Amino acid sequence: MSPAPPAAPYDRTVLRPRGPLATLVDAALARLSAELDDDQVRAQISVIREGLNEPLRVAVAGRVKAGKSTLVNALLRQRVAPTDVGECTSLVTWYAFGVPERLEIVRVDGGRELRPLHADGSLPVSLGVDPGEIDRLEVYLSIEELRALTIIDTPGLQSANDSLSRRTRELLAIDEVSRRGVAAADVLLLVMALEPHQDDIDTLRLFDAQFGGLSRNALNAVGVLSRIDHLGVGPADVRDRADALAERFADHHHLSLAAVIPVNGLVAETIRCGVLTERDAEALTRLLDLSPSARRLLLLSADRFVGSDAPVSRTDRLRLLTLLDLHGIGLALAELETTGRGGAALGRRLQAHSGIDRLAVEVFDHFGRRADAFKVGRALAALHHIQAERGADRARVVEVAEHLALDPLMLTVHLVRVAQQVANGEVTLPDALAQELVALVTARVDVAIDAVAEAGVDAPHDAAAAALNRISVDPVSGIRRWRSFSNDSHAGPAAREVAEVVLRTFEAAL
Amino acid sequence: MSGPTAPRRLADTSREVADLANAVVHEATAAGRLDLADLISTSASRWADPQVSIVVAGEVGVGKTSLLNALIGRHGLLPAASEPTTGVITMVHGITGPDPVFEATVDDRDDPVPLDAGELAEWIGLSGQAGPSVAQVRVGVPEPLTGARLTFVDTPGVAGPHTIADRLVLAVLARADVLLFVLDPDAPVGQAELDFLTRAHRDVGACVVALSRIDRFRGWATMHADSSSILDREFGDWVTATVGVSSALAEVAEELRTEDPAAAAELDTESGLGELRAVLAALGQKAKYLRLRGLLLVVQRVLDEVSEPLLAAGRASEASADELTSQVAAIKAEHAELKARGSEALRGVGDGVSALREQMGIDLRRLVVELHAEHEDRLVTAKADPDSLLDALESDLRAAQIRFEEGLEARFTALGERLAAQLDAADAIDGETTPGPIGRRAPAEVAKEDFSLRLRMAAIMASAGGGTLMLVMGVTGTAGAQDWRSGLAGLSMVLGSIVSNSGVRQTRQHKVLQTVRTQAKEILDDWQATTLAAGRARLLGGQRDLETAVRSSVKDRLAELDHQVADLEAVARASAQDRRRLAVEARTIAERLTALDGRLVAQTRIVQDAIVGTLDRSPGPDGPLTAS
Repeated sequence: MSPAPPAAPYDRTVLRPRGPLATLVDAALARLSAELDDDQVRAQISVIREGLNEPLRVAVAGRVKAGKSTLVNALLRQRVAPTDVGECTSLVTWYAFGVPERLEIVRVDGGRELRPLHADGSLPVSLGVDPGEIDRLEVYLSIEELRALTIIDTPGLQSANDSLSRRTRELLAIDEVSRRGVAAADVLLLVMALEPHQDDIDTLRLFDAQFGGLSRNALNAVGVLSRIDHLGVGPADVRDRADALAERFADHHHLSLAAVIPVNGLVAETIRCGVLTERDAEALTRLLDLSPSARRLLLLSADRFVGSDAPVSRTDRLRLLTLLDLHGIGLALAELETTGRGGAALGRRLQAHSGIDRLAVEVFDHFGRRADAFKVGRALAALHHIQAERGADRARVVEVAEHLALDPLMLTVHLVRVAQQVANGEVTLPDALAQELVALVTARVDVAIDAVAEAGVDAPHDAAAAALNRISVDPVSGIRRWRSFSNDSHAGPAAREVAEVVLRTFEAAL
Repeated sequence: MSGPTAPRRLADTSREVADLANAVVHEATAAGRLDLADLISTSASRWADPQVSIVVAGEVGVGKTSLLNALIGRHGLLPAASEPTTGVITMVHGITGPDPVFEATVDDRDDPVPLDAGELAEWIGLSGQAGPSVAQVRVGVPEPLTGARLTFVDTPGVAGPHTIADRLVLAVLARADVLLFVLDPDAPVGQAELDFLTRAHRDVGACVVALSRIDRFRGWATMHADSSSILDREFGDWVTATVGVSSALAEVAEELRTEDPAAAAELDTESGLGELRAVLAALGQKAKYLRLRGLLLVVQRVLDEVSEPLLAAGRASEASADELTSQVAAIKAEHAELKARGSEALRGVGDGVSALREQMGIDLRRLVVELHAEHEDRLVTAKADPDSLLDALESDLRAAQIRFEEGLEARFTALGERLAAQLDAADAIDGETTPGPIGRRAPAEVAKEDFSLRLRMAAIMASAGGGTLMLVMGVTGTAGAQDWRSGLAGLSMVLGSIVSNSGVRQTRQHKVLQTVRTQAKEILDDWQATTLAAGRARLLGGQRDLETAVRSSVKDRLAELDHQVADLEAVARASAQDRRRLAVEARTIAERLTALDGRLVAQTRIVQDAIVGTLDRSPGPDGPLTAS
């Protein structure tokens, strides 16, 4: 009798929320599985069903000190990622759902070592393993949002010591093989400074290459404009200028990024991790006692803020500076002055200012929903490749696959598929039509799934109409445009199929 | 270095540097690199420029333009080009008028285009691209840094998404005196920044690092410590100063100037701009040295570029000469070994043949002696029984004949094998040596020759063997008879008739026997004297032919090899000499260039000391080194 394989230290099965499309496909596959006689075919279907349950992987990349770890902490609502330079910041760290909360050090040789997290939920300062021998860190947290996605924090790009950034570039390729086997879509959060740098463009290109050009249809890469506090001296107009910059950047890279979202990472981290106390709010309120001009002089520089005379102790001021930075302090004071309310209300206002909510919606909500379409698309593709020996089984699988493919709810999945074909260069469209397709897919994916989830039977019509409404396209003129392209003798069969899918979307909206 | 000696030193140094530059221009021209010679001329032509040019560069979004506005005390004058996509640089120079003046240089127009302040952003920013091709925007500002005659050049950010900006900034640097490099103290100095500085280091005389936005950080100097040590390691005292600055603090100071002069003064100090101005002004005083430094950098670069291919060519020539010499030596060694093995093979042929000859002679003699002795015995026995004598004689002769024949054949076979082996050895020598330049005989040709030799040998063996057969037949009597058996039969009839008559003539028995004995002895003697000798002669002849054939074949090949090796050696020797001469020439040039390089390093040290020295002692406005 052969010895049993070593048991995994903890159960890794995780219940994950499932989108409406995945639910539909999973149910159909479950029925199919029950009808089949061949265990081998059933096993293949079970692999496809597991793929529908994989978490989405979100990589966070950007330059050194761009604020990646701060952002990860803010998203996770826990100060788990170390934000100062140390052993951990030079390593790739995966944050996944798991109980109990723990750190698993994955060695280059595949071995794993367990470490507890600190009582405050942060990573241990010293790992006790030579960093050169570590492939990655896996942090398991019982944070609900992580049920749907896994966040991968990367070391910074473009440090003078280039070995770090090389590691990051390698990371994006590390699990090429295993990734091929799972049906999880992948996503990039690119944390950027105020201006696009060559490294940022390089990272996007790398991402494009790694992810088969998928990101170029603007479905799964988002720019995060960090350190917006550096934009100007006064806090009041920072948001406007950040938004303007973000918009221009988005225009500039519209093929690569779904959106550019300005985020004050430090403020977001402090508030979402619940570090700002009532006492801090009091200290802030006391600063309001200063005359406006004295307050202005105090807030001119970090050195001044801590070094000058003020009605708050230096220790408290240093703490405020660490938690919020000058910009955040200015923001908080302005809030306190207008609303006069501290505590939780201040926290909410600051959080709203930080821009983190929009990012969280983008990451946890939109990506989670888009993942539904990605995963289902892959599952349908995999279904076509199932090997069955018995003719009856084979016929049944094909029947289910075709039935699913023709379901009006699956229109979104087809749109994503043809958009990918266009993005990958497999199919060439005139520029105007290609752009319309990208816009349609982006709007459609977000709208459609909500609509399907909420409205039920009439969903396809509502979703299509809402999507077209969102991108301001009239379905009738759209149909005319795509029909004439489809009838054009120059369009090849693949391009005609793209046109057919788009036409079905327009027709659904009528 | 004291005040009074300094002017003489500048004059001396500039003369030295000029000599050096001329020498390098000469070398570059000699090497056919007129483009490099031009670089030096361009740099040298800046010598008399009354304006000191300071280029402000740094990564995108690091705050270059705000810093420049703060430096000239006019916040908001230059628009921060937040989209650094154009290839437009902005030059800020001092004017005497009361108000700033703006103009643009356009590629297709000779006269500059006057601009309004409001149009500036449009011309510098992105939209400028759509219009005419703008080369430069010039901003005249009343006395930007009083008395220092400084011109500032604002540049698009480096390491951004547009590499054209990097090239443009580097082109501007080639005509600059000082690089003011703006860094973010919060982020470690990046590879792109280091790459840019490395390239700038080749062109511009001095660099000042400004750490921007220090108002945002506590302990910015500590934050910068790591980057600082990297810069120090890479560039040494080329980075003449590192100053933390805050344009924001300077701007507020400006606002509060009248309202709260005390706070304004404090903020001025904290902004670090006063310190930066002083550093730049001090460097401005050293403009002549900066230009010497810049010129020396260009000269160094040209020298390196001129030297590199020459030295490489010299090294290559030397290496290939060495290689040729060693190739010839290797071929000669191989040839010698081949010759040794060839003569050994020849010696083997001779030895083999003579040993065989000796052995065969012994065998023949012994056979004759044996036959003789046996014959005597049989003749004695024949007295008693003449018939058995005849039978014994017949069978003895047959056995002797067979034995001799077999022995001879075995000998020849052995000889043939040995010779064949030696031929093979000679062939092998011929085959395994002489690669490349020595012409190699085609294997087919060798095989053909080998085959013909073997054929010849076989013929010799056959004729020698046949001859022996004939000799043996001659022994049996009947001359000219083809069948030795009939000869023997004849002899037996003679003997038989003699013996059958003996009964009648008992008295003559003794006499008859005597006659038989005599006849037999005569036959044997005759056999020994004539036929044996003739057989031996033919045998020897065959052996000689064989030996000669083998020898001449091996010798031919060796002679051929001799010729080829000699030819090759002559060619290689001439070529190696040629290359060695080239290498010596290259070495001479290299020595000359190294000497120039030594002078260059010495002058660079002097000039660098002068540049750094100024900052330490901050001389007055009429500092001794402003003399032209």
